[in-house]
Amino acid sequence: MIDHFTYDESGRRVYNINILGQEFLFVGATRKDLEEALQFPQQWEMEDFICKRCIVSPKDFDLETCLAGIPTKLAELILDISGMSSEDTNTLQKEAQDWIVTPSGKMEVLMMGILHRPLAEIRNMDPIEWFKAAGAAQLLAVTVYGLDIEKYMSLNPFDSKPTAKRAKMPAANNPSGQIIPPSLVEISPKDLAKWEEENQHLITQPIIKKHV
Amino acid sequence: MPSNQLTEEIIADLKLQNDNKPLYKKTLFNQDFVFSFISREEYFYIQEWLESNPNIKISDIETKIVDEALKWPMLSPAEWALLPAGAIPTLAKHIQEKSYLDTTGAGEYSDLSVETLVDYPAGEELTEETKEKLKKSCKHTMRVVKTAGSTYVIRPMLRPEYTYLQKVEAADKEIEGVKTCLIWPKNVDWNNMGAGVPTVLATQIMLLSGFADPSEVTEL
Repeated sequence: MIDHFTYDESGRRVYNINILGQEFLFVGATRKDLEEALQFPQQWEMEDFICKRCIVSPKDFDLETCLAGIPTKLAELILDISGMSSEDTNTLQKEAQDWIVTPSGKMEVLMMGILHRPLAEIRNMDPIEWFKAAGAAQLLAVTVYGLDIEKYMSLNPFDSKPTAKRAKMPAANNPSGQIIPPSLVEISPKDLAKWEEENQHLITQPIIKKHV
Repeated sequence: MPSNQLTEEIIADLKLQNDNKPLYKKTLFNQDFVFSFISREEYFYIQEWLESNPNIKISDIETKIVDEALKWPMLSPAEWALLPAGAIPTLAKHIQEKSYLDTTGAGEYSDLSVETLVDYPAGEELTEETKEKLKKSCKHTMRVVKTAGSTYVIRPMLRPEYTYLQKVEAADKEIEGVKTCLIWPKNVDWNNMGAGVPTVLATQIMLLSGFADPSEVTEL
C-alpha cells in the first residue's frame, strides 16, 4: 500500500529531500503553523520554528549542531509545498476546486460532513475502510438528512452552467445574484422564511432546516 | 583627445606609490589607464554614497568607481569629455572584475586586453603537512578555495553561528561570517584585497553549509 508511506500518522503528506548527503523527511506546515511562524520578527527564527514543526526525520535533528543552511533550505521547501506564495495559493485553490467536483472528492466531502471525520483521516483510510465509510455516509445522508444523492453527485459549484437546480438568495441580501448558502449571508427572518418557501425541494428534512 | 602614454618610469612610480598593490593597465581609444582594485573600505564608502543618493544614475556609479580605483592618468573633466562615452563604463567594468565584485566572472574572467602590472601577492602555500594537521583538528567538511592569488581553507557554518551573526551588530557581517569559518590561514588582511574576495569566500561557505543545495524534493 503506497498510501502507508505517503502520509504521516496525522494524515499529512510526507516529502523527501537529500541535502548535502543527508536525507530529510518533512510534512507541509498547517495553517496554524504558518500563522505562528509569521509572528517571528527574524527570518531565521521563523525558519527554525517551521523546521521544529515539520521535520519528520531524522528524529534527532538538532538545530544546535546542524549546518547553517539546512533549516533555511528546508523551511523554504516546506513553505513552498504549504502554498505560501500567492501563486501557490492559486494553484492549491484550483487543485481543490478540481478535486471537489470529482466523484471521490464529493464522496469525501460527504463523509467529512456526515461522519464528522477530518479529511486527512479519510484520505488515510485503506480502500476497504474508505468504501465502508462512504457507504455509511451515503446511507445516513439519504435516510436521515434526506439528501438527493444523484443531484448532489452531479453538482458542480464552479461551473457557470449549473448541472442541478440551485437556490437563489433574495436579491436584497445578495444583489450580485450569486448562489450563497443562507448561513453565509446576513439574512432577516422574513427573507429566510421566503427563501425556505421557494426552495422546499432543497430543504426536504427538518434537520437541514435546523442547520440553516 | 588626451595623448598620455604610459612609460616605464611612470609604472615604477605608481608601484611605489601604491605599495605594490595590484595594478592593471587597460588601453582604450589610444589612451593608457592604470587602475587598482576597489578595497572593502572603498566598496562600503561607495555603498553609503549610493544609499544617501538614491536617485543616482548608473553612469554616476561608474564614474565613482573609476574615481576610486583609477591611479593614472588624472584627467580633468574637460579631458574626460574628449574621450568616447564608453571609456568610463568599460573601465568601471574591468575595475569591478579585478575587485572580484563581478558575480558572474567572480574575478577569474581573464580579459587579455587588461594587462597585469602588479598581481595579487601570492599567499601562503598550503602544504601537505598543513592539510593533514587541519584534517586532524577539524571534524567538519573542509574546502580549499583559491582566489585572488591566495589559498583559503573553509568549513561550513553551523546554525548557532549563523543565528548569532544575525543577532549581532557588525560593520561587515560577511567578513565576520568568513572569519568564523576560515580555518586557514588565520592572519588575513581583509582590507588589502579586492572588495569581492570575502564575498567569494562567503558564497563558498554558504554553499558548503547547505544554503543552495540543488537537490530536488520528491513526494514519497
